[in-house]
Amino acid sequence: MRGRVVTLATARPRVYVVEAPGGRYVRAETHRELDRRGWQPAPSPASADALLIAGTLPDPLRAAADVLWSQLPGPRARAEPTAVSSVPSTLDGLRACLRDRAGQLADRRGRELDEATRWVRSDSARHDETDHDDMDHDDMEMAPGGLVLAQGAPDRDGLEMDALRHPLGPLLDRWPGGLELVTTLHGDVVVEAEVTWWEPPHPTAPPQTGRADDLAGGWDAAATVLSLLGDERQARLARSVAPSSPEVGDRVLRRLDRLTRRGALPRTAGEVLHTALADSVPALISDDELVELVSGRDLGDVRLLVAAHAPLLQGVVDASGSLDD
Amino acid sequence: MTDPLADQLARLPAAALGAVLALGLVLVLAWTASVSRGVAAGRAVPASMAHAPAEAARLLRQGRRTTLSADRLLWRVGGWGLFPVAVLLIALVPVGETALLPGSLGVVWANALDVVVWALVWLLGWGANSVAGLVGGYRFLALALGYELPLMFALVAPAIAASSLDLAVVADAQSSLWYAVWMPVAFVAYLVGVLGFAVSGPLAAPVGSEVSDGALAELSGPDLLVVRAGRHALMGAGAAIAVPLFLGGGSGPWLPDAVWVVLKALLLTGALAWAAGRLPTLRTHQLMEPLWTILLPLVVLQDLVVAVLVVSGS
Amino acid sequence: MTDSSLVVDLAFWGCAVVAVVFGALVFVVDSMARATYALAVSFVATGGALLLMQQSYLGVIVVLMMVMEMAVMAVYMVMFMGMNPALMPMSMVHSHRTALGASLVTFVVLGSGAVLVPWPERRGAPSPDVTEALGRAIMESHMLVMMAVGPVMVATIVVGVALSTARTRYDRLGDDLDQTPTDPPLRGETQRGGRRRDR
Repeated sequence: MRGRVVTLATARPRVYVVEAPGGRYVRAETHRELDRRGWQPAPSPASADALLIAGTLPDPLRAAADVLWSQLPGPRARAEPTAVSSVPSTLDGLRACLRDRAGQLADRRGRELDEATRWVRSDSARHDETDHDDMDHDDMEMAPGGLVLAQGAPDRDGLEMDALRHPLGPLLDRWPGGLELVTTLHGDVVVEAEVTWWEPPHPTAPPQTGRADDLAGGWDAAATVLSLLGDERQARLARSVAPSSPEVGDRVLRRLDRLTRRGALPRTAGEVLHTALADSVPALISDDELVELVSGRDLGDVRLLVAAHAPLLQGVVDASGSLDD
Repeated sequence: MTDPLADQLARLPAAALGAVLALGLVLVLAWTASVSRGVAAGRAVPASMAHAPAEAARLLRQGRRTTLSADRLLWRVGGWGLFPVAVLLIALVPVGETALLPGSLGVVWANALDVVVWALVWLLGWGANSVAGLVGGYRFLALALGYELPLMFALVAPAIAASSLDLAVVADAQSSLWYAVWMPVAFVAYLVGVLGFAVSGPLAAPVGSEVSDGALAELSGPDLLVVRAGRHALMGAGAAIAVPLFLGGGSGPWLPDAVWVVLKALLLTGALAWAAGRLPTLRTHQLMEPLWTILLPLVVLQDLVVAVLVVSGS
Repeated sequence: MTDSSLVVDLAFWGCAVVAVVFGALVFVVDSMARATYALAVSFVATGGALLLMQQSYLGVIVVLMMVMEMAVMAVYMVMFMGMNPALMPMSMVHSHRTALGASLVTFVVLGSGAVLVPWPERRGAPSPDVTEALGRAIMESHMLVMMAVGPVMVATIVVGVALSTARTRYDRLGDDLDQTPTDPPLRGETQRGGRRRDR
C-alpha cells in the first residue's frame, strides 16, 4: 500500500529547472523532455520535488546553488546534466532518487546541516527571547531576524516608499542563465536595476549562428513567456515548433499577437517576439538597454520582458555555445 | 415542555450527516474543477482525472517548510481557511427540501463568506514574508476591489426580482424563466466574481506564474494542497450558489430537485473551470479599468432594469 | 424560543468573551497585521452576538463589512505606521496613563448610565421583522437624502483620488479614459497636472 502511494506520488515529479550560464540548449531540451513525459516544471523551489541545473555552474555560484537546494522541502533530488543527450537519463535518475526511501530518510536526517535550516532556527530562537522581554521602543534591533530593513526613498510621485533590494537570478527558473539582475523595488515596481553576468566555468564552443538558430531561440523565448503567463498548453506548442511544422508556429504566433493586443503581455515584449518569429532578427540588447527596459516596470512585467528578450541579451549570446558532446 | 438541551442534542445526528454530505459535495465539485482545468490545459481526460489524486499523494508526502521571520500563525490561517469557506458556502445552497444552513438572508451570507476570502488570500501572501507572496497578496486586494462591487450588485438583481434574500425563495421564483436568461449581465458579473474569489482564469494575477505563483510561492506539502483544493472548492461553491440564484434551483424534468441542483452545479463548475483554463491571466491594471468603468455601470443598469420590470409588473 | 434559550445564552456569552478578548489582543500583539485581524475577529464575534439577539441582518452586515474593512485597513496600517511594522515588533499602546484613565472613565460613565437610567417600559409589540421596520423608519421619510448622499460620496472619493495623483500606480496619465495607459511607462517623475497627451 505504502509503495503504491509512493509510486503515485512520484509518477510526475515537479522539477525546478534552472539554467546555468551557457546552459540554454540543455535547459531547452529539459523542458521538451518534461513535455514528452507529461511532467510539469515547478514554479518555485518551495513545492518542487527535484532541482535540475542545466549546464555547469561556475564555482562562485555553487554555494548559492546549495542554498537553493536547501529550499526544497523534501523528499528531494538534484542533478546537473551538462549535455543535451544526457537529459532523459537524468530525469529517470531524479525519479529513482525520489523513490529511494532509505536515501530520502538519510537526506532528511542530514537537513540539520542545511544553511537555510540554521537561519530559520536562530530566527525563531531570537523571537522566543523577545517574547519574554517586556518590549521597549528603544532597544528594537534594526535587523529583525538578521534581515536588513528596507530604506525609504521618494517614488516617482514624490511619496515616500520602502526601497527594497531584490535580486532576480542568477539561479531562477525560466530565466536566462548567468544573469543576475539586482532590482530596487518600490512596492512591486522596479525603479533601478544592476546587471551582472556570470561566465560559464570553461569556454564553450563558438556560438551557433544562422537563421535556424535565431528562430529556435525565438520559439524558446516565446515558450518561456507563455509559460510565465500560465498558459502551459500554448507553451508546449511553442516548444514543439519545428521547421517542419509551420502551421503550429502560426497558431502560437497568433496567440501571442492576441495576448499583446489585449494587454496580457507588455507591448514591448509582444513586439520583440513577433519580430523575432515572423520578420527578422531584432537587434541585440546591451546591459544598459536591459536596465532601461525594466525600469519603471511591475515585477511580473520584468520577468516577461527578460524572457522575451532572452535570446538577444548580450551575455546570453556570448555564453551560449553548444554543450553537447 | 421538553428539556431544551436534549432537544438540541437530538438534532445533532441529522446536522452531522448534512455536514458530511456538504463536505462530500465540495470535494466532488473541487475535483470536477480540477479535471476540467486539466482538460483545458490540454491533458487527456484520464490523465486529468488522475491529476488531483496524484498531486494530493505527492504533496502529502512532501515536507512542510517555513521562511525567515514568517508570521506562521497568519500564514497558516490564510491557507487552511479557504476550504472551510467553500464548505460554508455549499451549506447555504438549498438542495431538495432545505439547505444545511437555511435562512432568510442566504444571499447576504454568501456575500459575507466570499468577502472572507479577501482576508485569507492577503494573509497567505503576507504571512510568508517573501517578495513574491506580498506582491500576490496586494494584487489580490486590488483585484478584489474591482470584482467585488460588480459581484455585490449582481447579487442584488435576483434578490429584487424575487423580493427576497432567501436563496430558496429566489430559486422558487424562477419557475417560468431562469434569471440567467433575463438578467445576463448580472449572471456574467457574478461568474467574474467567482473567478475572482477562486483566484483563477483572467483574475489569477495574485498567484501569477510570472511572480513565481505569488501568494503560493513559499507553500509546500499539505499547506499547498489545502490552498489548491480550496481554490477549486471555491470555484465549485461559487457555481453551486449560482444554481439557486440564476439557474432555477432544483427545477427540471424527471429527476428529483436535489439531483438537478447537484447536476447544474457540476456542469457550471466544469464550464467555469474550463473557461478559466483557457483564458489568459490578465495583468492587474488590465482588469481594474474594465471592471470599474464597464462592468460595474452595466450591472447597476441591470439592477435598474430588473427593478423597473418588477415594479411595473406587480 | 425558550427551548433553545440555554444554548443561545451560552453562544452569546461565548461570542461576547471572544469579542472582548480579541479586542484586548489588539493592544497585546506586536504586529500591525495581527492587530488588525484580531480586531476583525472581535468584530465577527460582535456580529455573532447580534445574530443571537435576533438581529440577523445587522449581524451578517457587521461580519461582511468588518472583514472587508479590516482587509483594507491592514494595508493602510502597514503603509502608514512606518518602520517596517511587518518585521519590527511594534506596540499599539501609546501614552499608557492617559489612555488607561480615559478608558476607565468612559467605561464607568457608560456602564453606570446603562444601569442607572430608568429604561422605559415596552409599549405595544415589536414588529415581526425588525430589520424591515428599521429600514422603513430610516428610509421612508429620508429616502431623498439617502439617494442623494450615495452618489455624492462616490463622486467625492473618485474626484479625491483623481485630484491627488497625476500618474497613479498603473501609468494612467490624467482622467481621459480614451487615452490608454503608457506602455512602456514614462521615465522619471511627472509633474502634477502636466499631462502628456502626445501618444
